[in-house]
Amino acid sequence: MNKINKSEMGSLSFFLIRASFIGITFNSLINISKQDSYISMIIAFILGFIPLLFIYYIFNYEPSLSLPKKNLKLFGNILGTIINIIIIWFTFFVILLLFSNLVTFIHSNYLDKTPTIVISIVFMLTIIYVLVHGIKTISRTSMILFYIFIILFLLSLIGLFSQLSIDNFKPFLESGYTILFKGTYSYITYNVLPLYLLLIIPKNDIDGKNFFKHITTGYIIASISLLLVLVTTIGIFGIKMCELYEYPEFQVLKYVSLIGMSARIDGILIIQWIFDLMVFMMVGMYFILECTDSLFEVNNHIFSIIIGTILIILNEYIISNMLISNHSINIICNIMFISISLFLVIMFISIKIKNMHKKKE
Amino acid sequence: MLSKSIINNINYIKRLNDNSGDIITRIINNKIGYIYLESVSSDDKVSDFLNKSFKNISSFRSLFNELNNKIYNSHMMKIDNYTDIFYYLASGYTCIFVEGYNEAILVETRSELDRGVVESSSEPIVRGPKDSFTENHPKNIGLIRKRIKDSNLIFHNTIVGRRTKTTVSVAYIRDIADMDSVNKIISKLKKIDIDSIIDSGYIRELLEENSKSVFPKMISTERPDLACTSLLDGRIVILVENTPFVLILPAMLIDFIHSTEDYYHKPMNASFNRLLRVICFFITIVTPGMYVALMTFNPEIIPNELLISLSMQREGVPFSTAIEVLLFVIVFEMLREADIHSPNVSGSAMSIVGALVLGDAAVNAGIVSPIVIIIVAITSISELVFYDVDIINALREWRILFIIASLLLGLMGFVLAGIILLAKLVSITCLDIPYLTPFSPLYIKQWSDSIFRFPRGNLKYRASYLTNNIVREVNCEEDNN
Amino acid sequence: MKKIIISFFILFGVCGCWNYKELNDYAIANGMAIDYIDNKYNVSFLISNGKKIENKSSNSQYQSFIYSGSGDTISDAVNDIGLIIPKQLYIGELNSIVISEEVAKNGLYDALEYLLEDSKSKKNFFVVLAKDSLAKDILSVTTQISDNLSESISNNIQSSNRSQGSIVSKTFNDIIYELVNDGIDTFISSYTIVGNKDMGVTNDDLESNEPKSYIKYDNLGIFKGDKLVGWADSNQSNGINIINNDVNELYLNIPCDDGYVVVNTTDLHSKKEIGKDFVKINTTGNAWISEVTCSINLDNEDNINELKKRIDMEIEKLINAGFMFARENKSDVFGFGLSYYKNNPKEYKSINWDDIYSKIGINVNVNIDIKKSGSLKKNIERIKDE
Repeated sequence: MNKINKSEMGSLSFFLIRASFIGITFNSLINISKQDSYISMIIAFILGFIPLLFIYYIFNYEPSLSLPKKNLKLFGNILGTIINIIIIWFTFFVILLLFSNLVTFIHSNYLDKTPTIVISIVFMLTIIYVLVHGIKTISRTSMILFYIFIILFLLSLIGLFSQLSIDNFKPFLESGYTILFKGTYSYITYNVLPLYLLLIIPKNDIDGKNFFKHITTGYIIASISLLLVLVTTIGIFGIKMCELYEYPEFQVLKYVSLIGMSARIDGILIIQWIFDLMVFMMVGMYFILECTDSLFEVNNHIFSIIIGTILIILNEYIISNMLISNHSINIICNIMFISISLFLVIMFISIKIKNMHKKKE
Repeated sequence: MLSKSIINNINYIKRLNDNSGDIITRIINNKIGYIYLESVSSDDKVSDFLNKSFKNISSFRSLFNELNNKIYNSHMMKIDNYTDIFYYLASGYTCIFVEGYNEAILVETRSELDRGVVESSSEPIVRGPKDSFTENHPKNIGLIRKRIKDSNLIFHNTIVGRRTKTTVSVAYIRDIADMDSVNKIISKLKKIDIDSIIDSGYIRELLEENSKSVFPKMISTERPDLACTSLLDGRIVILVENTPFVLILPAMLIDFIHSTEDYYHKPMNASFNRLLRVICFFITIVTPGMYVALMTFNPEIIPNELLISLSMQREGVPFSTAIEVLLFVIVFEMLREADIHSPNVSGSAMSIVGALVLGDAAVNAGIVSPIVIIIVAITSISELVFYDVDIINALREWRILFIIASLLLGLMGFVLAGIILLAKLVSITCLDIPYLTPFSPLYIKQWSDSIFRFPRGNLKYRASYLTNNIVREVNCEEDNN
Repeated sequence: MKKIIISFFILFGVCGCWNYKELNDYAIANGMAIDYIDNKYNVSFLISNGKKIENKSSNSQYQSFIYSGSGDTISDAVNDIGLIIPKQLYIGELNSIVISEEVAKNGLYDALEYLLEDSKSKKNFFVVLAKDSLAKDILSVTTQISDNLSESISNNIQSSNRSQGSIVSKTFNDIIYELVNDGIDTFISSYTIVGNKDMGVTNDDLESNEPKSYIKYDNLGIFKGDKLVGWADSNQSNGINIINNDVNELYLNIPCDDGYVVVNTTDLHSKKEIGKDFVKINTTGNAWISEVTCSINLDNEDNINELKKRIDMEIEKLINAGFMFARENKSDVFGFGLSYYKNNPKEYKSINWDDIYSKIGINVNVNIDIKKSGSLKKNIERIKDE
């Protein structure tokens, strides 16, 4: 029982994929591909297997080491350390983006009069509490949150599916084919590429030989659930109303009507989105902790509190004063895609070269 | 070394115990003397057995052979020093000295100082065996032995406690249980160095080293059928002398929702009962916190007519919502505690009615609003579904934490408290098995016996996290009528 | 160490919970009325959690009150009300809004923006217009059937929508959908007060059997964009609803020799085809004979065919009336523009739909089946004569 179970890896990957959807990916998809966003998502689902294969290949190299140690072994000490530091900074910014998304979401929908710093402190305390118990607690918690998620998701789907109308998708392919790929690009960047965070777990710590099947299952289920959410939202609202609201997935839950009467449970059903943001934050902070642990020896508890404080301060004083417009989302998307895919490709090629050297010997 | 003179030996023992009132000594013919403690030995056995054997005595050797050959008694041994003699005297043995020899004979003449096998008072059951463990250690072992007549059932005895010298038995089935865990427990027991062991609760605390959580890691039960079912599953049972409560480990959260009755009823009924208990588990933690969150932070979830009626019910109430709820939760806990210590234990239904009357009077006096009485009554009733006192106390603590979390941030606080509870639950392990198996490390094969109970034919396999020997022999031919 | 942090936080948090509000500190607004008086917006709210009234019936009801305030924008007006109400306003449970004619003529965007912004409002309440009276008065007329005043409006709309052909029930979501998309315009039912307007306000009304004043459905209001442009009368409203597939049952009086044959048409379903300069409408349905006051013999095959032709003509007249009225006011309440856009997006962008719509022709084809209703074989007069 000292290892992480295979199905827990699947649930971790499930939440990691879903995390950026609310607020970031949904809005950018709607702005780019409009009614044909579901086609973008289906193409992205197929193309998304490529980064998955890269990640599996990197998993198999040196199964007892985690990612920063693999870098050190692969590239030598100096270059490896530089790459590790770049990865740490980069993950820090990804987490900052998602954290500010979480706090804004809760502030605008639930607790409007509470100052955002109180919200961010409370959520950060919870995340640090779960983090301090280790990666096993994070993965087991994510497994149980998955069960709760299924119940909430099925409730919202059953209540909404009958009100769908195909008319709202109607001018098919209005803007042409090429613009679909731009939507695909943004979906893959925000939703598939963050799976690199799973590389922090060495392969030997996972119970069972073939856990790739479980990660793939998690990926498929997550993509299907996101597709259903997108289809339901556009099908009920129509594209213009989706552009009107800030969080259309939340507004559409007010239409849920179960057993003929319209229940007002949108406040409870939206909790399914909070779960994935929290799990992403936990895994991301664990990633940063482990990377810095391999560089300098740090005490886990104190360092996590330090990182949490830095995130809160940056979010409160810098990010909330920035206006995140469409243009800046595109810039962030480009930076993320280039960095992560470059990193994965470089690692892949280096491992291939090393393997070929080994075969020659 | 014992002395050769009877008088010296007897005086030594009397001095050891400061001439306590219950030491009885007798010297026969200046050749044989015996000593026993009247409080723990049964006079009948002593007089009956010994007097019959002291007819033709010439020497120590023949006395010994005589007693050896006549199988009047079960346990007999020789002893030649003073160190353990008081332990045996206090356990009910009689010590026989013969003049001129420095060895003594110990014969067991223990009296039964317990209440006999009676019905279980704290875990009643509707259909099934109703006997329960008692304070008599061999009888407890007997209640298990007569149910599992397998030669692989092993009882390993150790003595713990410097002054009480209590016998602690570890029971396991040799080819089912995990031998590493058994050895670990036995070595831990041997390392315990403590003054006294009065009850199995002491052993439980000493075995659970870093128990920062309020949830119990071992099941403590009075029922032999539960102990036997657990043994056959691959668990380990610890029996402690002088207490009817035995410890079963490892324990998981799902075991506190199970009941032994589920295996005796039909599968459908048992599944329904288990599902009801799982729902009660959630209701009892969640309801007051949810009420506070909905009333104060998120009233948009409440439907319209209820909203108007609830807001009018709160007019004139001097306390805030959370204080009302906390007040009444504490009042109900006081009633429950008073009920346990009152002599008639079966009056819990009466106390709930009494609480409702008290609540009615409080509403009329204007202290609380009527809906709070209903909320707290639902919470307390669903709490009574569980037997184990530790689980009820754990639920009580978490209920209060949920109320405080809802008070601070409403529904979001409630969700965060839920995540913290989950994190705490998944990090508890007992003998390296996580607390929320089979859900959290996923074991789908065990789902046929966790929330629902599938029919007997589906229960062929034991849990693979408890044991390696997973095949039960179940062979039932279906009757096609 | 962890415990110190947690207890510190609890102390810090309890000192002031910003969103914490007890439920009895809310004034629950179930209805809202927007008027335009003296160039200012006048907003009224119907608060339903007043004190209890002891009634003759066993269930005591809670008193309802109306509070009004005025300002240049809706938010100003709501702030003005905040000076009068003793508790904080809660609009999460709005049942219905009444908008007066002047506000609708000025434009709906300003009026509805406030409700769109608020995160707690439900957004599926009903919207009605007020014709020839102040919206505030419509909200305050008591009814004897239900306790909750604004629920009476929403229940009324929902049940009437099923039985009347000239009424449409629009929720806030529907209106926002129609305002946001171009190629479709919105239309809303209206209420008016019948009887003595001043007498509707007190509770003495509930004592007598006959109400002294009550609210009644009136014409349908047609919009272009967000401004009110016209009122459709009963025939035109029926026609508009038939084209929109929104009619459950419709009673028609067909004149025959010396009386009427009343038929109840149900399952009316219109299929529309939209071309560049014409619109084709095919309507089908069933008709049940409901009342016969003339001496026509209904066993005769020819009579039935004649009846069918007359029913078809009646419905065609209604459809034409509705369509002409909408076309005159340049208001595309049927969503023809939107459907055309969805099927031919490129062509829609190259033309100006408003011009085309004002000249578009219509081609109506009606086919109603008459089903015999089972109760009577002949009517009373004929039986007596035979």
